[in-house]
Amino acid sequence: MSHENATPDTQPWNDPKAVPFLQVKNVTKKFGTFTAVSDVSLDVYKGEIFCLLGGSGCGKSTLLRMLSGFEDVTSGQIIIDGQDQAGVAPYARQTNMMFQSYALFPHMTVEKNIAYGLKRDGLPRDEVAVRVSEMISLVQLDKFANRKPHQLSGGQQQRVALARSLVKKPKLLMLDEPLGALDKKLREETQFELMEIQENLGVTFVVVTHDQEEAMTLSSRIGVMTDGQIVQTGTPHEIYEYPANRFVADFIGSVNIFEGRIVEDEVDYVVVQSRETNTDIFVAHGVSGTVGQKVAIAVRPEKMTISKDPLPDMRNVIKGTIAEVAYMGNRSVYQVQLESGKRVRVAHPNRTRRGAHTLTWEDEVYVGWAGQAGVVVSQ
Amino acid sequence: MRGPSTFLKVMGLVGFIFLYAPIISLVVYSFNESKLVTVWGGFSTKWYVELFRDPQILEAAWVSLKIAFISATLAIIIGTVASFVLIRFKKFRSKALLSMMITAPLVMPEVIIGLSLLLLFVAMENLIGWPSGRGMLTIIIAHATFGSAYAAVVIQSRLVDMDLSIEEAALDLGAKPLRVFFDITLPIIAPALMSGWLLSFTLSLDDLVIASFVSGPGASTLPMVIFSKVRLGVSPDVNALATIIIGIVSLGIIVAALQMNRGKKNG
Amino acid sequence: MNRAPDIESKLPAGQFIGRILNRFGFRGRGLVIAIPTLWLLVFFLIPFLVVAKISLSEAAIARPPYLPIWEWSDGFLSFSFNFGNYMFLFEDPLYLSAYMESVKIAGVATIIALLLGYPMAYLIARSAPNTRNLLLMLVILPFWTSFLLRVYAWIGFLKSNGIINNFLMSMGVIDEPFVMLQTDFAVYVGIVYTYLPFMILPLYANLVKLDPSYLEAASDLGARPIVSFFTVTLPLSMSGIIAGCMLVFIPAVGEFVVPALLGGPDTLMIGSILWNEFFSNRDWPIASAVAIVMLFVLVVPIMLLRRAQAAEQEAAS
Repeated sequence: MSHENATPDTQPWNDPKAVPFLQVKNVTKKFGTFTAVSDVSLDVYKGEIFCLLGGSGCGKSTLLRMLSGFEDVTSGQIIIDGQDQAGVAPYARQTNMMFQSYALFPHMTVEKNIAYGLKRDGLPRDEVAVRVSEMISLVQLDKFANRKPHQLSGGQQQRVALARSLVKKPKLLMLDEPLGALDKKLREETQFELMEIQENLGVTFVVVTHDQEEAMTLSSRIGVMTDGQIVQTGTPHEIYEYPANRFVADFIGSVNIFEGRIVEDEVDYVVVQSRETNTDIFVAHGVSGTVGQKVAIAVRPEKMTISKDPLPDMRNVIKGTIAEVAYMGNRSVYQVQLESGKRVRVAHPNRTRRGAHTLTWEDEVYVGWAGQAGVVVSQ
Repeated sequence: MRGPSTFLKVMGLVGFIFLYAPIISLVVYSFNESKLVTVWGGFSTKWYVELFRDPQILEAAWVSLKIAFISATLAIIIGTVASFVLIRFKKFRSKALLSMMITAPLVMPEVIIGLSLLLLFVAMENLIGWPSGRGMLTIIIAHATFGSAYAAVVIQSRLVDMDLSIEEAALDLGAKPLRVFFDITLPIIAPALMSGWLLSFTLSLDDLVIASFVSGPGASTLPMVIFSKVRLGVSPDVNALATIIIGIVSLGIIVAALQMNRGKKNG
Repeated sequence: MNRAPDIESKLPAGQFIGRILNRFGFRGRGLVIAIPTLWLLVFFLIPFLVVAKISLSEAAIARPPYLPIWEWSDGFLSFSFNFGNYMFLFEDPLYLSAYMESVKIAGVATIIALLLGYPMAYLIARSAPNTRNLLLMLVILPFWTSFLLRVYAWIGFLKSNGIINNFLMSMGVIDEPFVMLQTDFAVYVGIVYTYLPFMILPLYANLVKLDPSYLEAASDLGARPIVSFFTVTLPLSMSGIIAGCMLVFIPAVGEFVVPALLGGPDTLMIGSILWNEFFSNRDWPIASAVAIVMLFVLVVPIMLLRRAQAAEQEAAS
């Protein structure tokens, strides 16, 4: 991760003096009795790509629609670049949105679609033409300027939608599942283009997505949402390595969770006793808990080691039997049945061609992980 | 999926013969020399000549066309605004009322609509002196009212199908709501407006009952003239008139179908 | 919160005014809502109140031919409701039997239209897309040509020396012409013919959405085609059936043109009665009472239709 040793300049959220560009303050949105967004607070800084990540119905799209002015807030405040957005109509906001369905105007050419927003600002005709053609070149659609949306492929439509929403140089660009309608291959290519364009134009992005891979690749920071709340905000690295709670750990990547009680609580480590393992679990970081408290420990499958031989170097080692093997090409994933009956997933890279076949069903194995590999998460 | 069964095909054939036999007979006998409509007396176009010499029919046709044109245009305006309000606006107090009023004319027997409008016009004339007397104006108002209900059905279904985010995108790009309506919504629903207009136009041209109630002396529409003619029995020049109408409609539909096909190929 | 007025002053003036207007509940949209609402109130809903009012007044030889139901006399507003028109409707067997007859004719015609229209709708729904569009156009096309002229065409078919009788006699099937014109039979034919497209279109719209894999699943589970029709297709198309039937039944009850052109002197339909009361007898109060009672007869079918259409819409979304 490039953010590891960054200065406050590239990590403004760590700089107490930095002023957030977008401030969401205790925003709640109710539809009748249903609370779609519940007391969400959020700061986004200039130049960020901030991803709202969550499953369908978690409130992320509603939050986005409130930022663009399509929904009123029930309570709370949204401030963009120091201006309170309450009562400001969508057409008066200096933000733009790229819609999930792209929402290209079907009766206008690519050129006219992109020019539409500039014309609404009453810019002189020649300036509109210049900026539109610049934008068309930027998204590499020069050959298609006079086509209508239905004559374009999905990927081309996506570029038109992006160009149309960027051409007004919005203070904030909202992107609702920007890559959702593309197939996997195209999605991966487009991700990097999107990042490049964002970097060149310096526009702040707020992206809504349900795709964790997309969120991890694109974003400077991620806000994980569920049930209308943001449960954790952090860099992709923080979110993945230090999930704040069980939901986040589970939602992003796959994880093994062990439940237990704290038996030793020190400044730089804790020891947890779990019925699911026969040995105590050692976690090499402190928690703000007390002895006897119930906790859960999350360990990512790729941070575990699996072997037929005992693993003397590992701080935590458990014995078990291989119940399932899934060969995934670059790695194999083993389900190991522990003596307690609990199953854990262990990912093992296939560095050699025959590597996949050395371990198989019914093998008695040792599963081990280092003290730094596990993390204590709240329930 | 397997194709339709023989039973369905036979029933379909019977049904379509039932629908088209009378129409075809109208056309065939319009070229009949004999005055006895059902006895073939040789090919002739004399009923067409006679038709065009009948000043009453020509006058009525002209009146009907004027009424249909104006009332369809009014109907499409009312129907479009009503549809837009019903589909796009969030809850407002009179929403249920408006929704009821725009759909009810579809299922109201014509005699009731005709009678009620006439009684209204009479009452209004007594009360405020407008509309003074009955004639084209009152027929236009009546036709615009029930035509707007039909237009609204067509336009509403198009509006429902339309992706809402297209309008939101225009708002987002800085267009005010009225601007969005004219720039985005109207062009996209234009085909529905066209078919809604044609539907109202046709219904107006076709209407006998309501027009009979609300018209006054001097404003006889084509259906009123035809009705008084055919009530007395079959008359071959009416066949000629029917053939002309069928010809125009078929031509219109073929052109529309070709247009749509071309649209599809382009898309 | 000290910043609030500061922010306010930064807003463009138009927006500021708009916000004040909003605060008082006035929006441009109120005007937009008013256009169709007022038009329909004046030219659709209020007329019914006028009809109801006149149905309670007394007929008179005057212009307009009825007496007012309220009057200012000696500074008092005096009402004189006259329920006599309604009493008259229920006392004279002519009206009662006309209502019964209209409901019967409309009901039977609806069933015939369903029996004919369902297979047609099903055929269209199950045809290949190109054929489907052609057949659909063939169903709609008659609708665009004059309804009056199409009913008129049946006179030539049904009369004693008409096409059907001529054909049957020339084939030697019959010696004497059937009397078909000016009978209830002719009215049935006319109504079914006129309203058949209204039956077919909602049924088609319903059936075309029916996922064929339902039928494949039924067949896979051992249902013969006729069984899967009655256990899967028919129940799933019920709201389409109700919508189609009501779209035929409701206007058929008040039908005037078909009985006027094809029916005989014995054909008693309430639409014709209303027409005659109005145009021949110039008894506006009775005509109004006839209309009001007809509305009550149609309340249940109209409710059924609305429910069926709501169900169809729900299925579509």
